[in-house]
Amino acid sequence: MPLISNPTTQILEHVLRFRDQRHDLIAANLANASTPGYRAFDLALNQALGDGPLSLQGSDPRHFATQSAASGRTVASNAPARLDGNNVSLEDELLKLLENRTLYQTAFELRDRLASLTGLARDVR
Amino acid sequence: MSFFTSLQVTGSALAAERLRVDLASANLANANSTRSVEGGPYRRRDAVFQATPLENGFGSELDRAVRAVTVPQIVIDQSPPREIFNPGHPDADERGIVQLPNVSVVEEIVNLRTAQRAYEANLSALGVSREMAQRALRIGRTA
Repeated sequence: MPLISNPTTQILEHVLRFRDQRHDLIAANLANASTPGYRAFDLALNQALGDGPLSLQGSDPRHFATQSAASGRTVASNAPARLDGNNVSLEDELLKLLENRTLYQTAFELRDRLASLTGLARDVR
Repeated sequence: MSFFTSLQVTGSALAAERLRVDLASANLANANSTRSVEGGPYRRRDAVFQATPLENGFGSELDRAVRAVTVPQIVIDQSPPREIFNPGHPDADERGIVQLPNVSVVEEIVNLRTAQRAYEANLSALGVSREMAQRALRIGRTA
């Protein structure tokens, strides 16, 4: 199993980018918790991480497949709106914020373990 | 997209909610002001919140979804003033009626509370942003 640029590293990189972008969206939902008519957004994974090789997908063939491309697709929430047309639920967003942070840190933790394995292999030699 | 995106978005919300608290406080403070610089009793102020896409985005689907809050306008409530009968008041008209500001104390308190809750939620988001940025900075360091 190659230790550098192995599939796990690539998956972790993808996960980190996804979590980073989802965090931006959740922060934007929280920021607009008082904006009349605002609809909440969430980021959904384009495909399950186990479904074969990971590739950046665009919803349009003209999209650039770059490192900064979105790693998921934005989904508008269909939660019931308040009287002012806003459908942000502070509780839901805060829970998503914490869940996202935990998974972000988990991915980093895994990445560190992988890196320390690489270091071990180097020391053995 | 970077951590600065979420900081920018959260910062805009903190400023906007703070403004809402300021306006609610000003409305409460002037709940009985019968004179104002515009003439007549004080009229309550309210902030208009608007979701605005960030300027530095690339126009992708995600960039359009991540929006900051701006306050394009502060509107003056045009509802009629409260009227009480108090002939001894210096601002009473010939019928003895005094016009008081159209400020509802209950409404302002509710505004204060919701603004405070939204402010706290954004502070949490700020804390998590900072934590994630710090974690990312530790990448490559031996644990």
